[in-house]
Amino acid sequence: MTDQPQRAGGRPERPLCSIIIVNFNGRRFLQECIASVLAVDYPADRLEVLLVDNGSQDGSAALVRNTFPSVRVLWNLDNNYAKALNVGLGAARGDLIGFVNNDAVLDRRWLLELVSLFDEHEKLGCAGGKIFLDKSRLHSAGLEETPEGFFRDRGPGEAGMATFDAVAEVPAVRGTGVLYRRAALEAVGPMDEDFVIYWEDIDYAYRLRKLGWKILYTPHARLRHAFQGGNVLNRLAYYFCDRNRLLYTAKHYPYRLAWAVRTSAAYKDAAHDMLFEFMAGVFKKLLSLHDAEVLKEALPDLVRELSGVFGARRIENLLARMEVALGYRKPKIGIYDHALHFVGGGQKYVCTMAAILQERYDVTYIANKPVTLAQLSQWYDLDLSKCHLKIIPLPFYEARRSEVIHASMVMGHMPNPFLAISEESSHYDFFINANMLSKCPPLSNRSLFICHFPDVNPGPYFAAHRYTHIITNGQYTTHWLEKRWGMRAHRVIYPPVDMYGASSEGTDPLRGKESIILSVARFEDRGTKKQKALVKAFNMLCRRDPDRMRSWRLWLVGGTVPGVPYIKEVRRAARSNPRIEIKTNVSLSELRRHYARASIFWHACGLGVDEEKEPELIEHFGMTTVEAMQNYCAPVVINGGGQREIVEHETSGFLFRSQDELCDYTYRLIADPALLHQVMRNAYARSHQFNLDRFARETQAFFDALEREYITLENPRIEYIQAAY
Amino acid sequence: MEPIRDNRNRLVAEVLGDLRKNLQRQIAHDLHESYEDFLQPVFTPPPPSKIALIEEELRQNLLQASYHYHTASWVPDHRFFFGRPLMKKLIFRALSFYTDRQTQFNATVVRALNGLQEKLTFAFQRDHHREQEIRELRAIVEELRATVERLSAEKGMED
Repeated sequence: MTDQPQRAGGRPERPLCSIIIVNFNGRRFLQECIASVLAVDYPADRLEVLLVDNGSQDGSAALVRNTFPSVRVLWNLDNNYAKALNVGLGAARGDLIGFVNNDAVLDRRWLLELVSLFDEHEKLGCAGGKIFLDKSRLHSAGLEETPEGFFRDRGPGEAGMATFDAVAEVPAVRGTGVLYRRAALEAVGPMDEDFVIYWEDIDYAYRLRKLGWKILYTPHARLRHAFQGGNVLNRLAYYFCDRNRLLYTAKHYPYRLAWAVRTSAAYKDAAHDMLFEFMAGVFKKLLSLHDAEVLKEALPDLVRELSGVFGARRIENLLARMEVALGYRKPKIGIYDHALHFVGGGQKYVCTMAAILQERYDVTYIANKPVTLAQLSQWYDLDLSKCHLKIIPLPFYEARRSEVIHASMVMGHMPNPFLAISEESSHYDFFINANMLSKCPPLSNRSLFICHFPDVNPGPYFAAHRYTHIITNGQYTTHWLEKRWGMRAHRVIYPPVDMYGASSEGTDPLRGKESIILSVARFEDRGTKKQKALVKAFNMLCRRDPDRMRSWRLWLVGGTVPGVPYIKEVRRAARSNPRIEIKTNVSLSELRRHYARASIFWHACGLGVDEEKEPELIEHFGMTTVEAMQNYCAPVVINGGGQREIVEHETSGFLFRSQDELCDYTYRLIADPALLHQVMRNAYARSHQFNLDRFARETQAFFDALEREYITLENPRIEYIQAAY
Repeated sequence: MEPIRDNRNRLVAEVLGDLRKNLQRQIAHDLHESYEDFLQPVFTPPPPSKIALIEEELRQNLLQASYHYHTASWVPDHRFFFGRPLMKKLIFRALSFYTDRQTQFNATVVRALNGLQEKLTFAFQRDHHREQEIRELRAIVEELRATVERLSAEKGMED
């Protein structure tokens, strides 16, 4: 080299060398390793040593600080070897930069011999020495490529002193102990961190050679190495070497990838789980580095090979995920609701979700019976203009002229008609089963089962457990989901309730309130909403304190259909008390006015029901209670089901267990206006926990996480691989 | 959908799209085959004898198993993708076996196979298979195959 700096005495100054040692819990090796690096025959002022620690927990850093104060310690909190090398490269100041494994021990002349090679060869980018396993057995005299595209050591296990004793050009040298020219490093760029550990040196060697840099082996630079931390059968090495060979092939030899898969260790050992795990990273490399013309040639073979192993469906799903992960399209969501043609709370829940998600995703509703988006928009007062709708009639139900899609009609000995929906689900990235049709197995990459309540026992074709994610509408449902189906909910998202009354700034929100007790619940055939019990309780209150109760009225509001005998029973029970009014099928605006005028809200669904035996007969959540609370009504509701999640007893309302308790708590409120007003205000404050904003935030947060996980093709983590394999 | 601005990405997306279409065609073809294989025997009405009812129950159980297997192999996170053609053949063979020999069936054999089938169904239903589980499952499959083959031979001789 001609431009070397001169010492004062005229002798050329040695180039500054940086040695980078990456360490993770290698305390037991470090003493000997660093001592050997510092002891090399090289001017101490021309040598810097850096230790990059990947978050060791064995006191490695403390040992180095105390024993070798001249060594600079750097931190790389991600346990990724290639990244740690880059951290070291970023801090190193040398003209020549070397990597030495923490379990290697250098010969005193190791550095000097390598430096002299760089002096002699101007286009030398990288040089490595002779690596021994012990005092005489050779580990590596550089690497050579096999005809199959593997790399192997030259001379492993041989008595090594007399063999491979000439300097030679090789395709790569082991990163165990290696020296690079800074100019070459700067030309090639950083190590590829996707490799994590192993083969990053081989990949780098390829890149060096591609730019015209030479790689030399010299027998005169010697070092000893405890190969793979002394454990030749290291599972970590097995995993990453096999994976990274595929990454390397995807980067540099895309046409050979199908063959590389066939000859991989995971393929040969039938470790298919492992092989599939490799594929996301392999496809990412392949698709992000090569042009369409190359891919058109390379991909069909690879896809054919992989389909043979994993099935066409799995590979098709993988490609779909790649399209999203690489930003070629936004995720597609399919929402299936077999009862979409009916108006209902469950349907509203997911329609609201669709309205929130439609800007961000390509959302398609799937139904079995005719219904339009315009109808849905009108029923639930939602803008669904960016959603699509697909009607897939199910011949099984069409043949039976069944308006209701009852999954219970499908028995084990019949073909499953919902496979048609299952098949449709495969066309979406995320498939949402909106209304608990438990016989529809999902085939999408990610799937979401929305459980309003596990009201059936698992039977033939049960598939809810096949969904990747479960959302419930409350803790009550979550509890029974676990108890009945043995499944855990991934997230609770309470239903969106948006019944806030119009309020003007500065006015007292309690001003328009009247002495009205309100109940809002359907008049159902089996009387599950317990309106008759409410009538009885009101009559009991009237008898208890006729004077105070004179001004109070009970309004029973609810939807019904003609021919329901229960409503007649309620009317009969209420006939004797003119202060009880029954209002059926009121309009939304009327309902709002009722909420605005009422002071107390009653809800008794589940009264007298044994929760352990018939949990489905208790309100799973209870949206009307929240609606009332949003309008400053003080709730006195059943202490059961989802109601106890909404109302905090004696703060934002009262929870009763019996008709007597219902009367007692209500009477306390009626007798103490200050308490009533305080509870009304508390109830209003509490209701925000279940409003539309909260629902939107929770929904967005869930899909943020889902999408992030879906599009992020993370590199495997060393700790995970060590634990898993 | 946002148009893909970058020309390279657009072309790559097209290549991916074509590959996916081909795979979808293949899936549709497989699906057709599967329906043929698995769903047809179900429509055979069960004969009214006690043995036949046991047989029918087993047949349905096996169908369930085949169904679980069949869908499991499609679900991306269901780590269950080994030996798909082998499984398909086995289950179909078992089904044909029972369908063909409904009137000469031995309840003891039913119980034995039922036990195997239960294990198989249980294994199918588990969500995350690891290597060990796959090995176990393979052993079960081998056992099932051997039993079915032995019974086929015995029945054949009896016939």
